[in-house]
This record gives sequence, C-alpha cells and structure tokens, in this order.
Amino acid sequence: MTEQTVLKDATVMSYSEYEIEEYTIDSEPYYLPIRDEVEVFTAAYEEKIPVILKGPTGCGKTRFVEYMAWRLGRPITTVRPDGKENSHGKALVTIAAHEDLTASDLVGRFLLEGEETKWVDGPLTRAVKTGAICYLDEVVEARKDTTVLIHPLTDHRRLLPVEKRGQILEAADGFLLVISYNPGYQSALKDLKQSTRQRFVAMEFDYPPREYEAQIVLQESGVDEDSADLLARLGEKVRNLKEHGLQEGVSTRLLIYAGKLIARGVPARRACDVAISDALTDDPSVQRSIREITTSIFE
Amino acid sequence: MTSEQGGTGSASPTRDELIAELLSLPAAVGQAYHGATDHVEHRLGSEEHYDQWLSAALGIAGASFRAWEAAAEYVRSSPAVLDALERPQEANTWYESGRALSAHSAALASSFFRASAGFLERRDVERLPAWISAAETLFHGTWKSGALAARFFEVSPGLLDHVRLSDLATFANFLDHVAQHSSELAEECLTMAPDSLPYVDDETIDTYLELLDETANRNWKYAKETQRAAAVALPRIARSERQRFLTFAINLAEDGGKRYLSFLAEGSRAVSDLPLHMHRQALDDFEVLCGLSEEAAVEFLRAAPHVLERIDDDNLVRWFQEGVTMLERNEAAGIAFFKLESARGEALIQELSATVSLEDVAPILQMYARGLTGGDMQLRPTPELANRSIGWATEDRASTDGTNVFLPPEIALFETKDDNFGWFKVLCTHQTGHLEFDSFTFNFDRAGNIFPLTRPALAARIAEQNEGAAPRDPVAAAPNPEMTGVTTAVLSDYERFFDLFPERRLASDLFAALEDARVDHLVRLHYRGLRPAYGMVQAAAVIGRPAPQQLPLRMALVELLIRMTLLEGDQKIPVPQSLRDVVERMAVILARLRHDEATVEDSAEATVILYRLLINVPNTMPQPDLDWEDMDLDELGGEAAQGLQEADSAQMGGEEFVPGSGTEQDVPYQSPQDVDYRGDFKPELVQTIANLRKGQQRAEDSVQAPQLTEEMVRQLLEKSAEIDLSSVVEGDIDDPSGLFISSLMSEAIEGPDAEFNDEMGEVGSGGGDGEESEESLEEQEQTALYDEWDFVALDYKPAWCRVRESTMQEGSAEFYEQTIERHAGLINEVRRQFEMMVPETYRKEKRLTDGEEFDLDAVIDAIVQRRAGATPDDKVYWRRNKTERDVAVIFLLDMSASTAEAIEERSDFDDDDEDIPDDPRQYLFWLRSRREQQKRSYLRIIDLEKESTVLLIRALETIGDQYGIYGFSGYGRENVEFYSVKGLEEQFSDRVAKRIDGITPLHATRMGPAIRHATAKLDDVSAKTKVLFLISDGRPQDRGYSREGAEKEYAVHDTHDALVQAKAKGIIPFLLTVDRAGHDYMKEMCGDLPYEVLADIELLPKRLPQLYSRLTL
Ligand SMILES: Nc1ncnc2c1ncn2[C@@H]1O[C@H](COP(=O)(O)OP(=O)(O)OP(=O)(O)O)[C@@H](O)[C@H]1O
Ligand SMILES: [Mg+2]
Repeated sequence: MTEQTVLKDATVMSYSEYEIEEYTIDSEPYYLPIRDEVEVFTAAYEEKIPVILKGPTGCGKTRFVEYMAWRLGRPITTVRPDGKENSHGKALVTIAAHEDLTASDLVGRFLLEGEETKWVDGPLTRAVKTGAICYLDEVVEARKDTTVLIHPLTDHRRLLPVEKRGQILEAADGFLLVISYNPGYQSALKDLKQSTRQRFVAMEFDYPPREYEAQIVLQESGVDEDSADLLARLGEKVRNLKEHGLQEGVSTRLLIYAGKLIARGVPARRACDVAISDALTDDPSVQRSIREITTSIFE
Repeated sequence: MTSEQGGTGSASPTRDELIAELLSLPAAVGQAYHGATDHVEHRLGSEEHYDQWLSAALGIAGASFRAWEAAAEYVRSSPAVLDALERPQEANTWYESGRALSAHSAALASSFFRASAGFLERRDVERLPAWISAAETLFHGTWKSGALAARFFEVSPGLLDHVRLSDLATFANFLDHVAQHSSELAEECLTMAPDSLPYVDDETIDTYLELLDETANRNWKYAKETQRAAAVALPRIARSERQRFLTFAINLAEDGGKRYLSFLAEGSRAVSDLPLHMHRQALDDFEVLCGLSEEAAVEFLRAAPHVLERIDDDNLVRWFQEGVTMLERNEAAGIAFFKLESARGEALIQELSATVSLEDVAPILQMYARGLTGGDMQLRPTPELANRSIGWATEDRASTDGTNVFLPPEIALFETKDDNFGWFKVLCTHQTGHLEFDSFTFNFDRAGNIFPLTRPALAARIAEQNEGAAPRDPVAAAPNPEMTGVTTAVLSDYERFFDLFPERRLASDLFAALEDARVDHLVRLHYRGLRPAYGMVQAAAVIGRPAPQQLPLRMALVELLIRMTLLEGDQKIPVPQSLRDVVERMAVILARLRHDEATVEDSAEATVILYRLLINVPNTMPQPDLDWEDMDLDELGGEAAQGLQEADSAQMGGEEFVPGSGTEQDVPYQSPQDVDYRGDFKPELVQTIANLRKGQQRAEDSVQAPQLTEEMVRQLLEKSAEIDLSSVVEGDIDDPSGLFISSLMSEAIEGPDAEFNDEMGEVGSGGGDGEESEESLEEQEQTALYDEWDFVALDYKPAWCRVRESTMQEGSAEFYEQTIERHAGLINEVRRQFEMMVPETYRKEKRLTDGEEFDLDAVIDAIVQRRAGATPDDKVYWRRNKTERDVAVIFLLDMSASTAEAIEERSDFDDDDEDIPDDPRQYLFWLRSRREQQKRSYLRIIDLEKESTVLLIRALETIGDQYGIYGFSGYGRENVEFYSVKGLEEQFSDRVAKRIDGITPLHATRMGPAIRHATAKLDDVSAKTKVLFLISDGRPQDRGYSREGAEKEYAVHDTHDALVQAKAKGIIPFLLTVDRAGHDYMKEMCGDLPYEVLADIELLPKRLPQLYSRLTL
C-alpha cells in the first residue's frame, strides 16, 4: 500500500463522513402540550439547567425539543449517535444502536484538505459556540468517553475542552444541552452513571392520554377524526400488551403512520397491520393478537 | 299305513285290543296314553281316525328295539301336533316320517315327535321331510351324532321364525362340518343359533351361512366365535350394508387366521360408532383399502369414528384420500396415518377440522383480552372454574370471576374455523367487556350518568320501615349497632343492592339483562369491527328462546326484556296489548341505558325502575284475552315513547317495593333461559370473592378492619340468586354449603392463581433459600410433549413422548468439594485454557497494517510524520474486533442404568445390554441387586460424568458462558425423565453443587425427546452461539423405542432427527460417547454432525473442556 493511496482514500472519506448540519426551526412545529412541560423546560432553559428527556420511543421527545427550540428562538443542533442523521426530528425512522460515536465526533477533528490539515468543529462545539440547544438523542448508546465531555459542560463551568487543539471553550449564553434516553429497554450495563444523571433535571415523557393522542394523530396524519379516535384507542389497547409479549407499546409515531396510510386510502385494518402489528413484532402469535384487537376496533 | 294295516290285517283288531296292546308296553306309554287320549279323540272326531292313531303308536313301538320310547313320545305330543295341523288326516304324513325315523333311532324319533308341534305351527306338513332330512345330515349312526340331530330337532323350529327351511339345511351342513371335528362344539353352535339368527335377515342370511361354511372349512375352531361375533356385529351395521360387511369378513377369513374375527367385532363396533348414513361410505373406503393393505383397512375403520368427531363427512373423504396416497407411496406411513400415529395426518385433520379448541387459540385470545382490559388476566377453560366449587357450575358457558376469563374448551357450532373463532372472540369480548366497562366495581352509593341516584334513599326507607314494624323476633328487634356497622362495611355493594329487593331473583335477573345489554352496547360502540359477528351471535341467541306468549305473565315480560336486549331496532317482538305501556316503558329505559356514558350504577337504577314495573304484574298463566301483537322495537322505545321518561323520573323514589299482590293463580317466578354467548354473570359472587381477598390482604397486613366471616358468607349463600348449591357441589356431600364456603375462603387466601401452575415454564431459579421452597420445586413436575420420528413411515408420531422435567434431588456438597481437591491441577489447567477464550472488550482494534477502514487519526499522524521527514508508520487501519463471545450451552447427561457400570469391568461387558429387563419394576429390582453386588470402591461411568461436570462448571464460570446442566433417563414414551441440575437461566449456587451429587443411574435412554426438550430450552434464549452437548455411554434404547424389524435403527433414526432439528434451530449439537462400540451407530446417528467416541473413558474429565472450547471458539 503506497502513501498516495492512503492519502487519496482518506481525503475522499473525509468529505462524506463528517459533514455537519445546522438546523434552525423556522416555522412553528406542531406540539400539543400534555402537562406543564413547556413551562418547566422554559424555566430550566432560562436557568441554564441541562435537561434529560426520558420516555419510550416515538412519544414526542424530539418534537418537544424542536418546538422548544422554536419557541425559545434558538437554532437547534441535533446529533444522532450514528453521526449521520443529524437534522431535525423527522429523520428518526429507525434507531440503529450505533456504539461508535466518539468524543471527536462531537468535538471536531483535523481533516486533510489538500496538503493542509484543517480543524473542523464538531456539532457540539458548534452548538457551544453559537449558543444553540444541543439535543443528544439516545445518549446511553454513545461511547463512554463522550460522557467525559459532557460533564464539564453540564455543571456550573459550562466548558468544553477541545483537547486536540489545546483549547477550552466556554459555552455561549444560549447554549443548552438536552439529552434523551429511553429507560424502557436499557440493560443495567448501559444505564446512565449517577455522575452524569445528576447533572440534569429529568422530564418524563410517556405516550399522550387517549384524547390528546387522538388530536395529535388527527393533526399529524390528516386522517379523519373518527379514525384518529380509533387509532388512539387502538394505541391504548396495544400498550396494554407491554410486558405481555411486546417489549414496547406502540409509539405515537406509528399511530401517525397508520393514520397517514388510511388518509391515503389504505383500508384501516391493512394500515394497522403494516404500521402497527407487523411493525411492532416478528412474533406471529403476538401479531395475530394485535390484529384481533385491530379487527375488533376497525371495520 | 294305518289304513293299510286296518284294511289288510287278517283280523283287524278291535279298539279294546289295540288299547290293551298299547298298555302292555312299558308304563310310560300307558301314562302318555291316558294323558292324551281324550284330547286326541276329540280332535280326530271319527272313530276310524282314532283307531288309526292307536295302531300307528303300536307301529312305531315295533319299529325297533326300545322304539316304545318313541311311541310314548308320539302319543304324548299328539294333542299339540293335532292342534297345529289343519286337518287330522295330515297326521299320517307325520306319523309315517316318525316311524321311518324310529326304525333308525328311537331317540331321534322321540326328539322328532317332541319337536314336531313347534315345526308344524310354523310350516306345512309337506315340509316335514325336508326338515327331517336336514336333521338326518347330522346323524351318522353314532350316539353323539344322534344326540346332535336330536338337539337339532329341538332347536330348529324356533329358528324358522327367522330363516327359511332351506337355510336350516345349510346351517345343518355347517353343523355337520363342525361335528366332524368336534360334536361338542357343533352342539354349542346349535345352542347359540336362537340368539344369533334373529339378527340375520333375508338379505344377509345367504352370506351369513356362507361365512359359517367358510369357517367350518378353514377355521372350524372359531365356529362358535364366528357365530357370536357375527351376531353381535350385524345389528350394529346399517341394514343395507350388512351383507357387504359379511362378505369382507369372508374374504378375510379366506386367508385363514383370526383377523376376520377381530374385524367382525371391532370393525362392526367402529362402524356402529359412525352415523348410519356413513356406513356405506366407510365400507366403500374399507374395500378400497383392503386392496392395498388389510392392516390399513382395519385401522381405518377403527380410526374413522374418532376422525369424524373432529371433521365433517366431506372432509373425511379428503382425509381418506390423503391416507390412500400415503399408503401407496409407503405402506408403513399409510398404516401409521390410519392408526392416527402420523404427524402429517394429525396436521391434516386439524386443517380440515372446523372445530376451534381453546387450547389452540388461548395464547392469541389471552393476549387480545389483556390488550382490551389492560391487566395480566388469564384465559382459562370453563371446567376449571366449575372445579373450584366456588359458585360456578356450568362447564360450557363463558364467565369471569372478576380477574380471569373462562371460555368453553372448544367451539364447533359453525362450519368454518373462522366462524367458530369469531364466536370465541365474541364470547371473550363480552366477558372482557364486563371487566373493561367495570361491571364489578359497582358502588352502591355512587350515582350513574343517566338515571338519578335513588338507592341510598331507598335503603334508608327500608331500614325505617323495618324498625317501625312490630318486633316479631326479640333478638332481631334489638340489633347490635356495632354489628350492623360491620356488616355494611364488609357487605359487597351488590349484596347491599340486591338486599333492597324482596323478590331477589327477579331483581337479579333484571340486573343481569340490563347490565349485559349495557356491556353489549359499549362493546359494539367501541369495537365496531366486531359488530357483524356480534350481530350474528345475537340474532342466533334469539332463536330457540321460549315464546313469551306461553310464559306466565311476569316471566313473559322478563323474556321480552331479554329479547329487546338482543334485537336490532327494526326487528319485532310480540307485545300483549293490555300491557303495552309496561313494555314501552321497559323499552325506553333500555334505550336510555344504551348510552355511551352509562355506567354499571345506571344499570342498577334501571333495575330499580323495571323492578317497580314488573313487581306489579302478577305471574299468572297466560290469558287468552291478552291480544298479542308484533311490534317494532323502534316504535316501542322510539320517540313516541320518550315522553314517558319524565314520568319515570318523577315517579322515582315514590312508592315502596311491595311484592305483587299475589293471587291464587300465581305461578312461582323462574329465571329466564340463559343467553349462551353472555355466559354466566355473577356480579354478587365476584364482589364477594374480591372482598374476601381484600379482607385476607388486610389481615396479612395486620390492619384492623372488619372482615367477612364464614357466617356472612353462609348468609349470602342462602339468599343470593346467583348460586345454585345443588349444581355447584356434586354428589351427596353432607354439608354442601360448608364445602362451598371453605373453597371460597381458601380461594381468598391462595388467590385465583393458585390453580394455574400447570403451565410449562422455566424451572425454579434456585434463588429460594428455605426448605419449603426446595420441596415445592421438586414437587413441581413440568411436562411437555414431543413428536417422535418414525423412519419407516417417514413421518412423525404426533405428541408421542412426554418429557417430565423436575429439579434434580440434592445430594451432599462433599462430592463437589472432593472433586475440586482431587483435580486441582487439572482444574487450573482447564481454567487457563478457558481464560484465553475470554473476549476482549475493545470494539475497535486500531493501528493495524490491514483492516476494514483507515484510522483517520493514524493517517494524519503519518502525514505529519512524513512532512517532518520521518518514515511514517503504515499501520493506519482499524478493524472491528471479533464478535463478542455470546454462548449458551446445555450439557445433557445420560443417566441410564448402564452408567452404573464399573469402569474396570467395562471391557468384558456385553454392550448390547440385551438381558436388562424392560419392565420398569423388574428393572428397578435388577438394578438394586446389581448395585449391591458392585462395591462402590471402583468408579462407575456416572462418577466420571459427575466429575467432568464439576470441572466444566469451574471452567464455564470463568468465561461467563450461559450454561445449563441436565440429566435424562426414563422408561417408556410417557416417562422421559429430565432432571435439571442447573437451569440454563439459573445462577450457580451451593444447591447446584449438591445436585451434582444427586446424579445417579436410573432407567433407559430415550434420547430423541430429551434432545428435543433441551433444544426447546436453547431456542428460548438468545445467544449467538448455542451448543447442545450430549454425553452418553451407549446407544439410545427404551421400551417401545423401536419398530418391528428395525429394533435398533428406529431409536438411532429418531435421535438423528432430533439432532438435525437442533441444528436447524441454529444449535450446534455435539455427541460424545464413552461407548467404545459407538463407532457402529454413531456415524448413522450423527451423520455429518460432530461427535466423538472416547476411547478411554478416564479421559472424559480432561477431554470435555477441550472439546467444548473448540466447539465454541
Ligand atoms: N405532544 C405532541 N404534540 C405533537 N406531536 C406529537 C406529540 N407527541 C408525539 N407527537 C408526534 O409523535 C411523533 C414522534 O415523536 P418524536 O419523534 O418526537 O418521538 P421521540 O420521543 O423523539 O422518539 P425516539 O425516542 O424514538 O426518538 C412526532 O413526529 C409527532 O408527530
Ligand atoms: Mg426522537
């Protein structure tokens, strides 16, 4: 292997792999407050207290952060553990449990540009510099060394060490770190360390109550009111199966998908099959049970 | 002859002379004469005839030596014979025949005379010769043959009621054939004839006789059995098919052997179990099969009734054809198919069957029900609820005890599986509807959403009234205030509610109908997908209900209410015009109750209103002047009637409940007929049980609170309309209510789940520490059924082997410790070896000269170095580390008897174990004596297995693989023993160490099911690498683990199949045998799967870890 090929390949790689997006919420995202979360979050933001959002998948955490970012008039930078899906919440179709998110992915690194090396800020650094809300989704999936970064940033110091450049950054005023995690399917091994935990206030999210959820589904999917009601009812029933065959209850997101399909003319039962029973599990008998609930609720 | 004698005699004797001569014969003749003469004289009429009669007697007497006996019989039987004859002259023929016979044998002639009347009553006198000649075929001059022929005379007239005379001749032929071998047997056959021939009709008689003849020719020994079997068989078969059935028997009989007999007996029984219209088809099919395999044909007949219980007639054809196809391809497979010992056959029946059994759908419906109700309720078969004797009695109606839902074991109401399943779903949803829509959380004092609350006021007024009433019973008049307080505190709300009504049963029935209607309404509202099925079920529920017109009046109104709850708006019900306003009010109340917001408290208020209405209607027998008219439900409960609403509300809280002023014609009130799909609704009982449980809970938490006492339960029992003691408790138990109460109380203590431990699950985790939990663990035997592979039939025998799993009993911990001490060196060696397998924890390996991708930091370093003029390091790649170690393994130890072999003796031990007794009891005896012979001073195979286990455990604990250790043995397919030394999910503990010592040689080695069971366990855990490690000391063998002609191969093939199945599930099976003769069969048993034959058994402890580490690397 010659040096040249090494160089060439490395250059090619660096282009596609480490591109970072900044994303500002320009128009108001739809968010239906369930409790006092907007007030609490606003207060925390004003006091620069980092926030941890706990809750099952697809219950509105990302949407909430987007909404708050908009409300607080701040650009938001989102970092996914895989480093790729770093735009707004809409790209969250699947969560690949990537475990390779390193500190340098967050902070930044030197890249080769021609014969020059050039420092490129990572998303966290950018957020720190510009005073954005940084939303670290599924934080427990990231590698342990990232938590070391988080610590100085989330106590009173609000500092980000940029080791490779020998710098320390002080966070700009509007900066806030928000992390999320789903306590539901974390193994004990992957639990957050207490020293990390205790740097955040925690806001618990859960699937919205039926009436709220019906409204959300109605709004988000464009399905008729009646179907939205039934979907919310179905959601409630399927969630009863958590721990009884299902690892997780059905997410609001999936209910919205079902609603969208129905709005597009897919028969309701079929839409529920693809968006709910088959999406939730591979176990045929559990699928069948969910399908029986679906066929009871939908004509 | 008589005339001849009379005419040509030189001196025709006078009557007196004749009589004198007659009386000179032995006295018996004279006696007979005196007995008969008057009647004969009268019958014959003319003197001439009478004289002829006298001289005939003398003629007979002279025919041979001792012929006077025949003459006496002649005289004695004359009156009856003359009665049987139309004209007296006909007696000549009779006499002639008899005289000829008496020339041969006086005894035979006697029998003839004696039996003649019976014959002549049935046949003309001209037929006498034919009869006689039939008898004569039996007579060969010997005493025995004479006796048989005589018996024939005696028995045969009666037979003529059923068969033709010519048939009798054929029958006699048969008897004669038999008599040639054994006259005793022939006589028995003859004696049996009156019992068997009546079953043979005109159409079958020829074939029947043919069969007998065939028997006489080939199987004369079975003559009697044949006759009996045929007699038993014929009535069982449809008349039109009898002849054919017998023909089959003849064909089978032609082969010789007894098969035709079992065909007659069992085949006919099987056919008789079929509906009559199926007999023809079954025999058609049988005939087809006979051409292919007689064994299969017989099995088919035997199986058909059972199969027909599960599938319908049309599908039987399909099933049969599938069997024929199989039979043509492979005889053994076809026979297994018709024997119902084929997995493919079983699967086919299930596919063809429309019956849906709860067992099959319970997992789905239970999850469905849990989804609807949001609890962890269980779905159980109804008999289980009835068996608890806590108030439910019916075994086929759905119900709920407030926690769990009970459904009938199977449904076969409709022609398709889907419809039957739909019915199940409706049943289930109605029951869960009671849970979901809160039937059982009824609160006496809470207001509903529709009707105003009147119950507390009503209760207060009733209490007032009772106080005001003159004290009849001094004790009751001075109630203990404390006691009353306690009572209301622990009485269930339902009990308080129903206590309001003097006619408790009426109230209970009204409430059940209304609450069921409310639940149905809400189910239909929220589960619109169910509406079609629900509608179908409700419409079906109306059919077969009693006509209201025929019921006593009050009951007719309750019946109308129930119909209203079942029917749609545009349907009609008959309404007595004079009571139209009552029916209209019922309809309005019902319509209002069917409201989306209605609660169970509304049902209660509606009950109060309807009770007021109905209690004023006398329960008289239907009057003709009632003027019934069919009315639309819409009309009844529709807007026109809504005006009544106000009236209802205004009336509420008004007058008291006075039981209807009963008249003389009043009929006692009876509850309406059940609505099947709604099942058994017992709200009062459910709440009482819940209260009992709560009370128990409080007692456990030592909270001072009023408790339900036995006495209170007894009171409830006496008054509640929901419990019918006689049906709850079967048989003559002295104190049925006592039994009921005690089961109810114990239910409260143990909780409903005490009964539900029969499900197959993981064996205890061993976490418990008390002695008690140890015992309960051992008691808890869990069983599972597995198919067995029949390599000849190329099919599985369905659910053939029962694996019984239990926890290994504990021995002492010493063995474990000693082994560790003794093998300290080896243990260290193995551990080191294993430690090298422990996975590295890094995910990425960096600084490699080759790998998946560039390591960017390294590249940059390299460039920087090059810039600086240094030689750059070319290790700029990184690579993901090898997959993390994630192994689950089961070690399966052979605990068969042969592992008791001492190792030293092994060389001169015959490997075939042929003389080990098969019978389990004998076997145990054999084993014990054998063990006693062997002093335990030397090592047995099992000891080495145990030691190896200890070593393995030490090694496995260092690398953290998930492992389970199990032993297996057993006797017969029903008893495959499976012992857990360490469960796959269990942590190692002292108790595991002790259990190792419990490993001991037991019975036989049915490897297949043990492997399948272990496979199922491994299949339940998630691990990247799964290993099933089997250690055995010989070939698989067990009672019945074989097949005729393939004794040893059968077991080997089944084991092979189990191993292949494991492989298919992603498990690496490995077989290690210490049987040096193992090379013979291991190749066949394992195929291309890995195995090892250990040459020196002493190497086992050392070799085992080696093999294991190699397998899992
Ligand atoms: N309160 C709410 N208001 C408006 N929309 C909501 C609300 N809750 C949930 N949603 C909808 O649910 C969808 C899924 O929510 P979101 O993507 O925020 O889930 P999440 O909690 O971030 O899930 P994950 O943990 O999988 O990332 C959103 O796209 C949004 O449409
Ligand atoms: Mg999200």
